[in-house]
Amino acid sequence: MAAKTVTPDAVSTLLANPSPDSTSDLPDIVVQVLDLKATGNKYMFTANDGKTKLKAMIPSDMRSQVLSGAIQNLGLIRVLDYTVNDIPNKSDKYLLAIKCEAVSPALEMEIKSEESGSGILLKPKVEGGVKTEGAAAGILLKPKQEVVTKSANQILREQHGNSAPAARMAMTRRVRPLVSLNPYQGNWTIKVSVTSKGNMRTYKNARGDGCVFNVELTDEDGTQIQATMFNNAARKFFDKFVLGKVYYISRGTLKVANKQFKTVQNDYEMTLNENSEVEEVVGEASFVPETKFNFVQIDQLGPHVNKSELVDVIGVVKNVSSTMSIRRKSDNESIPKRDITIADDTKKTVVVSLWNELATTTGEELLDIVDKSPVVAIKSLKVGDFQGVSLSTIGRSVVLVNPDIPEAKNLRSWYDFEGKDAAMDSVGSGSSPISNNGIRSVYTDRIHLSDIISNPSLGDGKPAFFSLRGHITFIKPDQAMWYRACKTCNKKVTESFGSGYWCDGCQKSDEQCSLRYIMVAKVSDGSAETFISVFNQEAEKIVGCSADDLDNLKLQEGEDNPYQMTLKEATWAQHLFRVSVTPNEYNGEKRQRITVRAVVPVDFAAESRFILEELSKMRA
Amino acid sequence: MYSSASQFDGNAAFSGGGFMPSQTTQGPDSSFVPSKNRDAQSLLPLTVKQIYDASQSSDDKINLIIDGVDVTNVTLVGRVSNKAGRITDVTFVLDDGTGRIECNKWLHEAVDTNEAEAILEGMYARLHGQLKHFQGKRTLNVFSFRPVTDFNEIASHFTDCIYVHLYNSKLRTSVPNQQHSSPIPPTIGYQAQVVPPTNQFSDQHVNGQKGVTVEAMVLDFLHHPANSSRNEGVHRDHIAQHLGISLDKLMLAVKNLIDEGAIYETIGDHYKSIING
Repeated sequence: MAAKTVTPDAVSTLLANPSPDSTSDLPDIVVQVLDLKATGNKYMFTANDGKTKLKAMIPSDMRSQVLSGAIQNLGLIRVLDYTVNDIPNKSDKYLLAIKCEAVSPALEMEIKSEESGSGILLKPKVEGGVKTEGAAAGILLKPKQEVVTKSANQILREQHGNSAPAARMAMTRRVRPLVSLNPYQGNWTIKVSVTSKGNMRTYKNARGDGCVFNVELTDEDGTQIQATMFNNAARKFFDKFVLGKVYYISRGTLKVANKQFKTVQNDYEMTLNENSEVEEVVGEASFVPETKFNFVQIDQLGPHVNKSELVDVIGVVKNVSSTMSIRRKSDNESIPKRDITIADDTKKTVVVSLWNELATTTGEELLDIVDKSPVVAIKSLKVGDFQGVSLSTIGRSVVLVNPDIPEAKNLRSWYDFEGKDAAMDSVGSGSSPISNNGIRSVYTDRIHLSDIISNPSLGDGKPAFFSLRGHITFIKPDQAMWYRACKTCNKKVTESFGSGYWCDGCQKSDEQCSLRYIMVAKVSDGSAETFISVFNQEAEKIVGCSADDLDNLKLQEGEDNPYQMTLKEATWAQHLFRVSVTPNEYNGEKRQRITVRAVVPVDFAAESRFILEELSKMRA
Repeated sequence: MYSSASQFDGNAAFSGGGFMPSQTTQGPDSSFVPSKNRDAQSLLPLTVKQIYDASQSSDDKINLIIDGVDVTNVTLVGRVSNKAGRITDVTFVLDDGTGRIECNKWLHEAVDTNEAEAILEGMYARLHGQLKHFQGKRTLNVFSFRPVTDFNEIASHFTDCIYVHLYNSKLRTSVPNQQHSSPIPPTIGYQAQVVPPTNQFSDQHVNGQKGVTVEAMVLDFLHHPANSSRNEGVHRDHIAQHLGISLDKLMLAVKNLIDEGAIYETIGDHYKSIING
């Protein structure tokens, strides 16, 4: 049809032919959808032809059309195959729309046929209470059809032609900006677009099972608020709220936002219940707020490890992994995950784990274009300590690929001219070598030396791991600094009688061996001083050279004594340490063995931020 | 200002003089075993002002006390000036912005000489050393001083001084989660009328209100125009933070005030005075 409108007397036609044969030629039946709502995996609605209404159902196989938004409340559908059934124990009937298609999206309002033009003949019929002859009835129908058609056309024209109804609605309802809302206000109406929509989640608590979901709403001024719906309200509004569409909302409840779960910048959050009013504004463009980033550079992520606040990062994608399936412990559900490695102009890389849709959709996109080194800007990431520093997306993280923002341009420029060939270093490297002990970031578990020393039973049964910052105050020059080690397995070797060295582990002799540190040093911080045991890898970082090199220096006797000089240069240096503590017994006296597991140079900028954070906690 | 001038005069009076540290035998290399009578040694980050504000310990005339902790080894960061070198030692003045202190480094080995030569006049350096206190004069016997290469280290050092100061001050107080001015340590010997270090982070309002009840403080705070005009009231955490009192103390006062009818609870954990309510 050229004009989209309901078929006159469509409902009567449906009722007259309740079970059409599938091969028969059906008349054109177009009805309006009213009161559309989900029931299980089916949808119930009321079919309206302007004059008569009929309860109706859309079966589950047609559900996708409703979910996709093709079939909308107040919209028009054409019934292609149907059955009219009796409702058990009731005199009513209902329509089962076995096959139907969308004709029009939501109209402005419910279609009603106008009776003002029916003419003189209708009045006598009503007064008399008696039906006239069939011929007269036939004549009367023609003017009515014409009127109905005009009415529907007029509605459609209004919908597409102008926004007069919306303007009238705004004035009538006194739409208020979000910023003016407070919990002590009376009736209010807001006009907002849905800028974020969460998943429907189920929960269990003392009062039984329930479901909840929330949306982020944005008004024309860009103010945002989060709205939460539980149980019946959640089921009622979940399908009503479509991302990007605009709605009038009223009769919600406001309360002070819970800072623990704060998501948008607003002092309040909204709860909608069953009685809340949500009405879509047709034809309005969404108020999309500009995504604002507060980027943290990759080499500055250390102090954010395991903190509650989320960070934004921007970087060039260096690597994209394949999709992995991670089984969640809580409900044994598999979740897709994909790891990408990004770098920025600090020449540090970090691994970002993308989850769910970000792993499958965005991750796939990144995998396709990884050769072109795309720039990604990611909002709301959680910082973890896996492999020192790692990042993870959460439910509301936003990933923009090659965004049109100045930071992306700057990064692209840096990468093209310098970064492409630069040697990258993982942001976590140095802060934690990969180890079976699960060594974590040097910014977690930070303690003072006195906390270790004052607790002699620390590490009983299981070594205790901590981070600390201290100065090396003394390395005794004449201690046994190293041992002779097998070059293959690093185990201790013994000198053979003839020549070479024997390794028990490898069960063979070798002409050469290497030296490996096993060293004791004294360390101080602002609270105490104590001895620490240091092994080869960590000792090399403290001393500044390998044990072999130091041995060569020791052999150079002379006035300058480079051996002593090297040790003295290592003294009074400041480091970040990751240590393990175990109790030890020596000559009947209880002692502590403090072993260094990792050594990292002090990043004074990060250290200042860390200490300022500690100062804030101290004041609280 | 007078105090600062006094310090400067003191430095000027002794600079170039014949005084030597009394413990010349104790160098950085000695395997000096700390005395069993003393607590474990620490390495305190300090500012020069903290050193001059320090008081003398009662039992040992050599050591100083800062924030209730015996000071032995210290670390400072500042600019080197007035550097004068001899065969046996180098003297210089360290200026970290809070004051100036005279320093002395003995040149025992080649590495000492190399280290001394690496420092030029006006350079920022990090010092590790032992604090000396002799006849009212405070000097630093330097174990190590090295150029600052990462200038974030300067800001980091001052932040560290603040942190360790607060940490040690907090350790000394008997009441946890509560900060108040340090008690005046005993003064002995050459130090007279020593002013205890000011706790910069204390709320002056709280310190000035000794004797005033917590209820009165809470009521005053809620009567403040900015707070009384807020429809939703003020959250208790905000009140506790601003007044510098613990949450337990605050809630006790709040309960009393609610019983009196002076304030009421609006929404969860928010309170408002009945005036203009």
